[in-house]
Order: sequence, then structure tokens, then C-alpha cells
Amino acid sequence: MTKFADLHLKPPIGNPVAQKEMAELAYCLGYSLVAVTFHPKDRDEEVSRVRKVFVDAGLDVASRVDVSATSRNELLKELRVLRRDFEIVAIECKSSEVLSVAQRDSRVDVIYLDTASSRRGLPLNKASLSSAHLEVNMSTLTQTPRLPEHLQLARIEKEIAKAKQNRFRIIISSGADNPMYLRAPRDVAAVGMLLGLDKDEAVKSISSIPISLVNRNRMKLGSRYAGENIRIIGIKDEKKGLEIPPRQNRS
Amino acid sequence: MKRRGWRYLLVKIVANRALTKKAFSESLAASVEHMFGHIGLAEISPQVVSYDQEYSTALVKCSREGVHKLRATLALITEIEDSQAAAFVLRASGTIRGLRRRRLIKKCLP
Repeated sequence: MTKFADLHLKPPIGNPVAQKEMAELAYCLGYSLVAVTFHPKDRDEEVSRVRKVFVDAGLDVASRVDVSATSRNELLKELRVLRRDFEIVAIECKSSEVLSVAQRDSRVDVIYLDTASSRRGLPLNKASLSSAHLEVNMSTLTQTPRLPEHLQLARIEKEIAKAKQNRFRIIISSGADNPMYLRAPRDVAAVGMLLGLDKDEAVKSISSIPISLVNRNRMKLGSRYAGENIRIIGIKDEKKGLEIPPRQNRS
Repeated sequence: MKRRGWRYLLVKIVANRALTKKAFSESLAASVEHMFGHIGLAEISPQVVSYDQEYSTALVKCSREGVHKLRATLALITEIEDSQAAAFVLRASGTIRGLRRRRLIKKCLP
């Protein structure tokens, strides 16, 4: 059975009722993994309480942070500070300077574009240079679009066509901050098909691609990761013999 | 001549106020027409077969070729009769009987 993931949920941190409603709805709609967006300044107790709400609903939860940098230096500074604290680091690209750095930096997982500001479209390089995934948020279509619907659709379609041409992996997320903006995974895939993905790509964009991204990052953040394709299986000490480090799951 | 194939969708509607079958049906047709025009509407042919007001679920029939377009339209619905609303497809099937077997699903949704 296909597992579905929504990598962009923004539940209101101070509202446990809305969080619970969102978590239960996401589970009922068939999601098995969700990424909850936190602010870097959110306190640890709040973060663990929100995680617990989603875990109790039966979901696997990944932590995500959205970085909205305006310049190269600001982006690099944010990445240095935040990378090891979150399982997903997403960059909102408002300028081509930020986009160009975000595409080249291996610490960036997801980039999403501000379609309202990119009239001519932002320059996407070949994906072989990047580890980032391009994210399309349903919220740009459902939550008070800043452009007329047809223009918004046309721009997203154009960005997807460009991303496909450059072999970017595409993720479709809800970007929901309210249960009313969550959608069933297959409905999200249908919107993806409307935007130019074929059926297979659309389903992968809400299932295998986001799930493998989270798994890869969890492995990287674990204590056994030493580099690309290198895992520490034990540390040999002359006196103690072979010591196996425990697995660490970041919360 | 090849017989036309149909698909049936079990749709859950969450809205700020109670809706009637007529309101949902009109809103659905208007949304499909807004997205795909008259030709799209004719191609998809959405019809609300039944509407359960107690659980806010509707059984919607559409052409087999138009099922993805209908799903996309339902996903983009945010308002019905000027009040905030959302529609989720709970199950799709080739027969109405297939959907009726799955009615338990609706109980876990708000």
C-alpha cells in the first residue's frame, strides 16, 4: 500500500485543539508522515507537545523550518544555525540570488518559489548540481491567492515544466495552517496532474519522494552518519574493544 | 458503440454551515465550469447522486475519463455559498455498491 506524506503543515503552535483536529484529519485522509513547521524560536516544550499531538494521532512527524532569506549571506547564516536542529530545511526563494545559492547548497532540502513575485520565472539550474527538491504548495492556490487563479495556475505550471526540464524532484504539499486547507493525497496528486505532472510523477510527489527525503535526512542527522555512503558501525578502542554507538533519533 | 464508463466518488464536505444537496450540486457544477469551461463540464459530467446531510457526505458520479479533473476541482474548492468549505474524496469506485460498503470511513472525519 502506498504511504503518503505532506511535508508542509503549519499548525498554530498556541492552539492545541486545532493541532489535534489537523492531526486526526491528516491521519483519516491517509497520510502516514507529516512535516510540521516550527519557528526556530519555538520553545522545546512547545515543539515536543505539538509532536506528541501528531504522534498520538498515528502519524510519523518530521520537524521542518522555513527560511525566508533575502540575501546570500543571510541564507548561509541561517543554514549554519538551523541545519542540525531540523529534519527538513525549506527555503522560500524570493530572489534569484537566494535561489542560486539554495540550489547549490547541500544543506537545503526543499526550495519553494514565491510565484506571485516571479513574473519571469526564477532560474532553476540542472538538478544534478543540487540536492534540493522543488515544492509546490497547494496553499498558493487555495489560501487567498495574491494573483487571479488562472495566472497563479499558469505560473506554477510554468515552474513545474522548468523543474521537469532540469530534472528536479518535485514535491507537492498542502502548506495548510488550518484543517480546512488540508486535502486528501490523491486529490493533491490530481491537482499535480492538472499542473503538468503525469500520473506516476504526481503520486510520487506526495509519496516516495518526500518519504525518501525524510529518511535520508534522519540517517544524516543520526550519530552513525559520517559522509555520503559512509556509516560508522563501531569505534574500536584498544582497551574496551569494539564499541557500537547507539542510534540517535533527534526529536 | 462503446458504452460510457462512470466512476463514483464518496466525498466528505466540511463547511461552516449546513449544506443542501442542491447547494453542493450547483457549487460543484460551477467550480468545474470555472476550471474547465463548458466543454470540460460536458466531458466530466459531474452529478450528485445522493447527499447525506447528517454526515455531510455526497456520492458523486462522473465520467471515467474526467475523474482526475473532478478530484482536482474538489481539492480547489474553498467556498460554497459564500462560506468557507472543503471537500475530500474519501473513496472512488466503479460501482455505487463498492462505495456503500465503505461508509464507515465518514465517522472518523470531523
